[in-house]
Amino acid sequence: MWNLYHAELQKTVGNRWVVGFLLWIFPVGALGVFLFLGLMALAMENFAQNMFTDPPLWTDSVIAVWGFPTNTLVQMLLLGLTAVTFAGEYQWGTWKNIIPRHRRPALIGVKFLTLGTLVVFSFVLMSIIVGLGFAVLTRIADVPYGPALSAAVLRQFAGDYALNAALAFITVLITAVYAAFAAMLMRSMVGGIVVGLGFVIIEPVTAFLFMPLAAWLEWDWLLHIVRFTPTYNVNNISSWVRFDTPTNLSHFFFEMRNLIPPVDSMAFSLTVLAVWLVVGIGLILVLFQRQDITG
Amino acid sequence: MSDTIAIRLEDVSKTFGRRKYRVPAVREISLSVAAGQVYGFLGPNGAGKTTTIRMIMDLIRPSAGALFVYGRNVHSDHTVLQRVGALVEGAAFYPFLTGRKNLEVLARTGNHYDAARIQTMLDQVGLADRADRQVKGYSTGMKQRLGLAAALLHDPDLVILDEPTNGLDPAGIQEMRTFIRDLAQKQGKTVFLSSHLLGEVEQVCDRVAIINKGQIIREGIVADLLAAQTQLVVEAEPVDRATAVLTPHWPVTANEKTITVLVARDEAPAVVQTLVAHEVAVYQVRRERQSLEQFFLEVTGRES
Repeated sequence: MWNLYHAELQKTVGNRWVVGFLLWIFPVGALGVFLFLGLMALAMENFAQNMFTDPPLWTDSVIAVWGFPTNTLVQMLLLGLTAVTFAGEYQWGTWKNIIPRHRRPALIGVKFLTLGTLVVFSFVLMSIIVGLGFAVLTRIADVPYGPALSAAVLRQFAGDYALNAALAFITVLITAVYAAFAAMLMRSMVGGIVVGLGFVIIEPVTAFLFMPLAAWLEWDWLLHIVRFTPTYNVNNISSWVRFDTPTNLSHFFFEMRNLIPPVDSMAFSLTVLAVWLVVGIGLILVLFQRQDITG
Repeated sequence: MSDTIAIRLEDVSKTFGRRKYRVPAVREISLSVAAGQVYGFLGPNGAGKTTTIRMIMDLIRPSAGALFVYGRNVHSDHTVLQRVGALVEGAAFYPFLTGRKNLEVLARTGNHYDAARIQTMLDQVGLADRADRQVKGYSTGMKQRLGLAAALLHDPDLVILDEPTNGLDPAGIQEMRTFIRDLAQKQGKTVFLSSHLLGEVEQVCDRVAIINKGQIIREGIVADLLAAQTQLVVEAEPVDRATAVLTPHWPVTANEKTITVLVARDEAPAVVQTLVAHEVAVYQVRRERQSLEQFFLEVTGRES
């Protein structure tokens, strides 16, 4: 399995332009931003001081990086990377070289594994750059950069970091499942991106689509379908992590708050997301297992 | 049994599309390739050659029938394909990787990575000096050579080559012919070769199958197939009358002073008798060995 993973890593990273624009852009972009801000702070008096109205906390700034993968624009880039990874094999005609060398489920599994580790590596790197970048800027501005290191702070930070990273990872994985499914269905990178993007955009607004139907048919239960969508459950877990309460659906539509009371536990949301991932990856495996490689 | 028959196809069919868009590509073909043979698989474009090869490599699922490699079903026992190396329908690689990196990726995927073996293969196919350039800059011939290196990377027992000479120059074709012969004679490998270069096939193959419109129309030892049909070159006058009287019975090609008639060996006297009976003067009759190319064109033309 290590050899298969190494092979996948070698070809994914070897596609330098794609991986550069769609993945390394995050840590490299962060580095660029901090270099720019650092130079500006050194060149202009009071520039650094004006940046910090409140002294920043390194714990918050490092953890905040994991909010990026849940951003739609960032998801679009990661969706592109997934589409290239899966549909690229069709477009380059390379499935015919590798399928006889390994079982199809393993070939798909290793793609998810490789993408997952690369995304995690990229954002961990970005969070380190952000943490160090703020350290340099606060030093220039001569403002405090807390909290002070202690066992309790580190323990709390490690827990929060892991939770936020896991949440971001699940979001990325669900996006990757959409993109991979679309890419394998369309056998084209562009098709995979377009259809995958369609899934990413439509899924959170399914609630909105069901609202008029539920009102017209007077079927309130129809609205509860939203509780089984990935976006709702990611938000619910996020709400539990941050505020220790279930989500109130305010991120969907204001009326939803009154229609669906916040009741779902973190375990419920984790189960729903796990089901989405298992079903999504399962569908991809079934599709690929039955697919004729004609190109 | 399992190691004496390299490839066995049992009533294999493949139909693409559904309902009214169904296109039968391969229809109930059966064949066996003995280990150690160089087996030619011939057919016009769209005959079903590549579909058959892709089914052997478990890239396409057959609609019916079963395919075995060394006695093991390629679909249910996929690992048997580790004994097979294939160059299927034009070499394709990751364009952004170098030739060497492409081979490394394939070797790692197949769990048989060996840097020394990769270098040996690059030397053998004459790509050692260009192995560290990106594949997107390779010519078709270079990609084909790299494809051959990829097929032989894990020292397979069975080598399947689908149009291996595509994109090669005459010297490359000559090299490929020697290479294929050596694979069987010196290395003891089984070679399943699909090619349009029938002259090459005739020279290197022990046995051939000809497929047309998804069905195998001839199969056998090359010499036997060619011996079964005689090409008679008849010098006769008038050529027009000779052609007219023979055409209803045999395939005839008229030349300036001669006619060429394709007949079974025991029908040769009947040709002469027919000509004489129709007052055609026969000056000379000689038998010529038919080439595989002529045989191929004749049988595929007749079936069409």
